Amino acid sequence: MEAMRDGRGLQVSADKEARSRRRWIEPALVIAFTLALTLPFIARPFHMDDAGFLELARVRQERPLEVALEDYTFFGQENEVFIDTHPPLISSYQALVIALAGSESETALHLSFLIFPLTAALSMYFLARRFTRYNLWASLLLMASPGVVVMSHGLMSDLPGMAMWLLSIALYLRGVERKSLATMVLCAFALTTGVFISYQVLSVIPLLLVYAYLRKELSVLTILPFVLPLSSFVSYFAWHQIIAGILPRFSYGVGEPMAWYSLVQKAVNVAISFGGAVIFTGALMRVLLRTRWDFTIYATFMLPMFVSMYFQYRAGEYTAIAVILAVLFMPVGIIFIYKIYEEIINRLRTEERERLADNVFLLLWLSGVMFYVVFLLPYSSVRYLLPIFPPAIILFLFLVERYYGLADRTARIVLLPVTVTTAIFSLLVAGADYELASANERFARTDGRRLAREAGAEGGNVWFVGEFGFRYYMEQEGFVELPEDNLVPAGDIIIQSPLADPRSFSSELGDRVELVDTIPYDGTIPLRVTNFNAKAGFYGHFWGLLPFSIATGSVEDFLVYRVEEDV
Amino acid sequence: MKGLVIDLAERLRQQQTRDILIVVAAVLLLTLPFINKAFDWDDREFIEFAQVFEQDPLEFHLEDLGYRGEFYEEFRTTHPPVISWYLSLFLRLGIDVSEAALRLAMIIFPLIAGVSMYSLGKRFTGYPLAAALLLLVTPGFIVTSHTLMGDTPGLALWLAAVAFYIWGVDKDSWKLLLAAGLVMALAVLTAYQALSLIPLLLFYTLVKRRFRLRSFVPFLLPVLVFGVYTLYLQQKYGAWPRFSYSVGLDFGWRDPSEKIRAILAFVGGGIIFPLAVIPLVRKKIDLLLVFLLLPPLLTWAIFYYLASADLTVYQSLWLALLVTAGFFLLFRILSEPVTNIYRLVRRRGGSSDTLFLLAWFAGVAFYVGVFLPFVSARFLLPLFPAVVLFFLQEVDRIWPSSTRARTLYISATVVLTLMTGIAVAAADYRLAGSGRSAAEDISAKYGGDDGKLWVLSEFGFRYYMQQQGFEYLAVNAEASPGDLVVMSRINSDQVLAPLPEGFYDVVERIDLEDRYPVRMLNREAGAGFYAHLVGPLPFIVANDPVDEITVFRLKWEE
Repeated sequence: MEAMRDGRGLQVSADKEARSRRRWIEPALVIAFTLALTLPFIARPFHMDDAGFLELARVRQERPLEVALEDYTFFGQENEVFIDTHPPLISSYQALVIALAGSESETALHLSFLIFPLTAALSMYFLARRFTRYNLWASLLLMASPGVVVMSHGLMSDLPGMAMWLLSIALYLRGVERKSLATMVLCAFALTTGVFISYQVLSVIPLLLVYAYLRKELSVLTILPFVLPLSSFVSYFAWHQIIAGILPRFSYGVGEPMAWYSLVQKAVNVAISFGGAVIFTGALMRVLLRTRWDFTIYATFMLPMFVSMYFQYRAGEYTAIAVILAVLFMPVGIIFIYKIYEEIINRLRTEERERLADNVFLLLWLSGVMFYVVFLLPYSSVRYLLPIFPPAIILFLFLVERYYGLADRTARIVLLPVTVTTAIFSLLVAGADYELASANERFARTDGRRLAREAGAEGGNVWFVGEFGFRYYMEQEGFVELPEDNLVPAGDIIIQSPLADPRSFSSELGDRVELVDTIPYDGTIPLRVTNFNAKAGFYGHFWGLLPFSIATGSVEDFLVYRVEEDV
Repeated sequence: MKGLVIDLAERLRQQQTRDILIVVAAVLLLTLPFINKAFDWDDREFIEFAQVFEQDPLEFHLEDLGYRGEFYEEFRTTHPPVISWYLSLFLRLGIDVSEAALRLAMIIFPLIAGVSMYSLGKRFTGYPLAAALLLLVTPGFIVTSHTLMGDTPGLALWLAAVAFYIWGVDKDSWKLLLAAGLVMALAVLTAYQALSLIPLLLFYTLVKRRFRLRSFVPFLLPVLVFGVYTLYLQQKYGAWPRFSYSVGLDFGWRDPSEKIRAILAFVGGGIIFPLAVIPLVRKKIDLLLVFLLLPPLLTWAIFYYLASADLTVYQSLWLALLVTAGFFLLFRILSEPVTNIYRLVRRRGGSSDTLFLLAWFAGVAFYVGVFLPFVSARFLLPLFPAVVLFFLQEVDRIWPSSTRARTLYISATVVLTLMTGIAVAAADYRLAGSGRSAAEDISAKYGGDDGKLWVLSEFGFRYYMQQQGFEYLAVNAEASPGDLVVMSRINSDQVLAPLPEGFYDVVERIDLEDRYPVRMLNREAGAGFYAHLVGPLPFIVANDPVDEITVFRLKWEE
């Protein structure tokens, strides 16, 4: 008896030790994995909307609460006062980092932004623990997904927004579970920070409210975390109105978000992104397509997609590879969405009532983000879809649990390869994105300078057409963005990055410009994330419906125009 | 059994004696090191009146006085006479006007305040010693206790009157009530604000439901004394007592909001160490209300200054911290009585003490906000004890069952508040000293100048410049081209008009730098301990020049 008790005691002690070890080792592994996927990209040139955030950060060095840019040309439109469409925190954080670093250093800024992927990874680790025993894999898979890897190398608000979104939810669920006031207070601060990073985080409030309602836990404690962000948001509105004379802007007002063609494009983009940007497609197919029935459904979706794409291929709209990728991604995406909905509805039917809140919560999270991306946002993009990644991955793990069971072997034979292939693929995608970012910087510092020297020798100036990272580095060289209606004197040079702004010149100027050179910048990785020809539109579906595509050759062809005399 | 009771009473008496000795020691430790502080602010006025009272205690005016640029043949003060009467006693004893002598004479008042607060601490909390020490170490109290002005004496007598009255009512003792009446009368002639003791203590009688004649008799004394004083002034000067210089009296829409902001910041920073108030908001419903109200409050308090570029971001963060601390205190001070009213109405216990403390706090905040021309830590001084007593009551509610946690929290709060108080008092000491040394330096440099020497500033700088032989430049002054005028920015800000453009050349501008990194009256730093019109913060860590002295040479065609 004594010996048995001793033996059981030893077993309990060993279990406790193992749990304790797990408690530290697993988060450490999550941190190490996240750093491994981000640190190699720490010197990436500024890219995409990084430039817009930095523009405001620069202004906030002098005027920390400035919400507008003065005399700012954006996509050729001249604005006396340009109101930012983002909440203020990211630019303010950048301003602080710039002040501390003493310059707009890519490395310093990217290093300072590591806090966000790390927050996201750890939050996912603790949040997923509530839903699946594969919470470690949930966290690793989230951080390995192409969308997250690429966005974790930028300075935009999307990944920080997702990080605070996840942190808020993780804290809230823990706070409700433990009825902990301290956790709820922390949740309130995380939510408020999130709302001031990305307005989308506001949608966490109704989501969590429904969760508390379904758990029958509506109380002062569970409402508490929503009061601070809402009160702060309303106060910010009032202040913005007083300072800037108008309410904050939520959008640049481009496009027609509710037009039928826009809705279709966004819905297609969502499906394709599900198939290509969340988990490596091959790995996803390996898990999802298990039976003949699965393959039949896949083929059923593939066929109309193929027909549609074929006609576009024949019309010269799509390359063959783009067609293949679209035909590959979209049916997988649809099946992925279908399967996770099927899984959650199945769970709602079969699982005990106390899990109802958890399952409905995941369902609403997933559906809510899809709804606002398709119906409310001006265009679809992987970065806008980021908040959908965590529930999609948790639900993917539900499927894995169902198909392969809860065993260590499952982790070894399914999750490890899925995560590793996804991570490797994501690094390639991120590498391709890096090459494009780098091309803008290299062009400005080499060919841009050369063209300026040549134009200067003939008494001309250099203008540029393009936004994003291209604009940032061109402005660093002292070039000025060409306003749409500007009358440019003969002899001046105009450089255009078609990816950064494909606009054509005004009718007056269009007759006077002559394309004198096309300067291609090649990439070594045969993947493209932003490319009209390859139909890769990771940052927005107007570049292409695919999140990324396969292509070789130049990552960007910079166009050089000379302005001629008016005839 | 009887022996045990006697033994207990004896031990209690010993403990009280020990505590009182600690309070006395604390007062001495907090005042004696600052005994040589240069005269500043209204000290000069109290000294000048003391010199008049030395000759005739019933002459309530100064003759032929230039003040705030104006000239008065007969200048009547806005301060009641007790402090100057008191100082004149020392002058009659042959003591010269010196910083050390007069400041030493004033130590009696923080001593009275400390002992009275001990008594009130005993009545309202279980921590009489902590109550007394916490009041004594507050930045507002330490700084104000180093002046000759009527604020600390007014508070001391206020506290003594409240202590006498409350114990008198509670014990139904006519001796204590009579003492309360006498001290109240003295308090009213020390600081007019003490008049508000009458409604406050009447309110105490009301909430305690002690409607006996003897509870009302003490109020006759201050009313009678004030009435006689007023009638005397009316008969002698044909005018009522002056209550204000009418500085900054602007009842436009901006003014009340600025005052409320300043009151919150001064309450948050001038009393208890700001971060010590965080545990006060601990209940779910409290947090909910704080989360709801604090963002709009901070938006209103901070962004206004930032948007108008009156404060830098750093200064605004200070303001945010102090306003938040002030809001936390105010929130507790309001919410606890509300809970108690609910309990009283529902007959579920509840204490009327919190109602009395709320009335005390609200009454002072109201008259400072509405009747006084600007917000200043010294004007708010009478509400400090109410806040301290509330705070200590709250400590019991935060940790009802852990003596160790309460002791630790109170001790840490006293120590942190003391450190803040000493830091601010040192800044005040150095600021006052800078005026004295600047006067000496300027006199040494320009004393032999051919032109006549004038000073166009008030307060301490004026005092020391006049000591150096400079004359005050009022509207009646007969200045000539070539005369020198010296102006201290901090001693003329808001009270004197600048010299007319084109009638002077700037000979020299001197920035008075100080490496000591705390500012408590500095427009650039946003600090306005003595007047919120200079800045909304009671103090700040900053290194802006403490003052700017400008030497002008007058010029015009004769």
